Amino acid sequence: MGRLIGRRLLFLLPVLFGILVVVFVTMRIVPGDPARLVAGPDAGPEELTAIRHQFGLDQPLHVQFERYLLDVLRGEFGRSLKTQRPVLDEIGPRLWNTALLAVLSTLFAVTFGLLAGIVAAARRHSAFDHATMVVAMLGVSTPSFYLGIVLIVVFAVLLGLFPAGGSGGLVHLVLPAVTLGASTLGIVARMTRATMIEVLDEDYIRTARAKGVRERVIVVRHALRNALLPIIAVVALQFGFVLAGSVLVETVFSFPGIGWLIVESIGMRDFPVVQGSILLVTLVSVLVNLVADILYGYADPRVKY
Amino acid sequence: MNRRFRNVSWIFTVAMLLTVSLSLLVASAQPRGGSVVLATQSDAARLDPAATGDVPSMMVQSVMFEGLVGWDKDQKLVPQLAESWAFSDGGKVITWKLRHGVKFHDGEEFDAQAAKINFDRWLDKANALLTLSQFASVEGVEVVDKHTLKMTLKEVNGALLQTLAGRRAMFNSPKALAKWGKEINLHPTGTGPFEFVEWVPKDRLTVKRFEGYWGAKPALEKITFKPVPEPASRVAMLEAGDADMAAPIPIQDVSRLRANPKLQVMMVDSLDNLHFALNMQKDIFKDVRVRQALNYAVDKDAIVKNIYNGLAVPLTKSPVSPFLWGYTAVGDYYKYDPAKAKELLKAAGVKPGTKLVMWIPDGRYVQDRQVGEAVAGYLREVGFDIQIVKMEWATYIGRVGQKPDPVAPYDLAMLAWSVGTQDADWGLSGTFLSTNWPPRAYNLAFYKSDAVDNALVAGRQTTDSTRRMEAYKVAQKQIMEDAPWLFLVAPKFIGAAKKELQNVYVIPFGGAVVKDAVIKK
Repeated sequence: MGRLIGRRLLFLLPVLFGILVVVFVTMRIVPGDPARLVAGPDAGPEELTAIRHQFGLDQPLHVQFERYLLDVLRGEFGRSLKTQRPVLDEIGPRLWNTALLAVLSTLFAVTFGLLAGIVAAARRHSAFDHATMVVAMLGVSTPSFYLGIVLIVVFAVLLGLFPAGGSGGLVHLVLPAVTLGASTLGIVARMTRATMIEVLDEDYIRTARAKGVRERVIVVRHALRNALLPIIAVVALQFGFVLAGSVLVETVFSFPGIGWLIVESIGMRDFPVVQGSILLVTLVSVLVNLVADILYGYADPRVKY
Repeated sequence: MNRRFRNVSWIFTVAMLLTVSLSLLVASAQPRGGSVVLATQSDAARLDPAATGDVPSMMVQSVMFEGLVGWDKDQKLVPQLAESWAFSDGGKVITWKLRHGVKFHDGEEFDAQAAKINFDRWLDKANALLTLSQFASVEGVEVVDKHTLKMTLKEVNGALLQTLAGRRAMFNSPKALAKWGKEINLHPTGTGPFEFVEWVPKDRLTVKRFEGYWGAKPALEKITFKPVPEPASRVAMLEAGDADMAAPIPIQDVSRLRANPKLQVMMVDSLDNLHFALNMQKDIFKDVRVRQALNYAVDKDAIVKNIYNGLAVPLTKSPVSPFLWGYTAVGDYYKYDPAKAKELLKAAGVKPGTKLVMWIPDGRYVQDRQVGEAVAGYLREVGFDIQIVKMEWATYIGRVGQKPDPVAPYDLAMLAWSVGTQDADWGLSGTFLSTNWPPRAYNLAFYKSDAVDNALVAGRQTTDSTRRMEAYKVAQKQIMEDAPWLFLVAPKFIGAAKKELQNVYVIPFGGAVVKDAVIKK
């Protein structure tokens, strides 16, 4: 296990370097001038030149990259071109918010997805089964910005149960987490049902039934444990999508997370913030997948690293 | 005692009592206290006025900061930290009498020395502030005495007062400037009616009433600015009661909000003059008949009615919005007439099927894409083949703002020119003066008219407002006739608030003003 973690962490370095290069170059290839965007339309050429100089954007590209790389190695991510705050100050609280949102939405999706999938599989072709699968399909296929607005209208405007947006406590996280988790929930539910059905048809389940083991024990202890493996893999992969999906959900709920920050920073061509955020999000994403691999080992004793 | 006299005194007493109790009632009907949450489209970018170029930042700053002059609710220039001013030396020297008893939020006194420190900072090239070109005509300022400031100009600048009111020349405490240096952006310390409490980026910015304010103290105790980028969510927050006011409001929500008995909707003609610049570097637009034909071909009234639900004004009387200082309705131009458009095109020798490339900054302006599609439809009807190219704003402004190589690639480019000075000087010269072709500024039509150039220069070179108005009138008339743009509309800027929130309004530059708000239950 220790070797696995070590190897994976080592592998992380070229990944991060690659991401850094790609983001750095892409941001500078796409048209758009940060100085012009920061200064607004009524700035004169004198201001634009002065601002570009202030940001170091008047330097040749390789010099800018060299500087940036050295700074990053020292743990310096620079300052936001827009707000002039240190990039880590910009990212830190937002990454934490998004992580919280992603974890909550994943928990929500896995809990309800598993439950729904298990019951649907155990009661195959029942009304519950059909209803669950339709809802799961809706969860996967409803665009999150649309679902978000619907939830806001129903639960914030009409019923007044939850705030319509912003942050401030767990209550602010409920609607965004449900919105963000909906598609994962759908996938987990369908996935669980499919693998459970497969497992429930296995010989060892028939044997267990023949021995007179209670159905609940069969489903939970014998079937679920074996059905769990592909689900863990799916959830870990989905986590990346959850991070990506947070972009839309955070905008709809004006939730101060990293997704909103990245989108706005790309729109402002705020190079240091975009670079820093994507680097950190990549790091988180890779680490989550590492955790999933470790969990995999626990769920399936045959898996050895 | 005479019975009659007794009656009179009786009546008098009752009247006195009534007056006293009524005035008490009135006084209690002006409730103090309370806080307001204002949902805006975006977080502030910066808190240093001199380094700021965006509306959300200016909205936040204008409750914390003041300049020498400002604007009132009707956008009339009013004294702020200056009590009066006088021009001398043919307009090249301005002597400012400063207000007494003004304190910064950190307790420092505002005086001529404090003003000078700010001006010196704004004019220093090394600081790379956005005041550089705005105040390029200012040579420097000197302290005459504690409350008198002398400003010397390199040349007369008729737009200077409006530029000073233009939200960038607002004073920070010299002590705070010295203490925070480059970090002053995060530690706003002005003289305004509210002082800074905290800023959690992308979440909230809070200010509280400044008890040492020199003017009428605000009734509100606290204002929270909350960025809500998604328009539908902004409206929902207001409807759910999570926000007390929201701006801007999407056009399609206005009738629903108006029907809500708990809410009020407010609007004003914005300074955004939406238009397509017609690239006169291209041969086809060198002929004035073609440019006029395009203007005749588009039904602006229909665009206002169908795309803006009537919440816009067509730009048929001037190229600029009515709230720009210097605006004059110079005629009634280009009434929808497709037959006349075809006639003009034929006379100019434009063949049917001629291809035009139209650039649109997708999502930048209210209903921009819809307007673009509609205009393309109208132009197709008079025989053009229109290719629409949409870009996101950052790409767009970068591409139209660069030096043409050798000619700009678009035929039509959409823009709205809204200037913070609210004055015709930069409001017209930024887009029509022949020295302001890209990359210098945004004369995207590559328009050059000696008559307009002369009028704009004349308008700048006098401080006499009658003569300035006259000069800008000449320019506006010439521009309407030359049609370097396909003139479109000025959309309204719309906000909405809870009914009990009074004395709040929206302004033409964009943004809501809540500093004088009173909550009436």
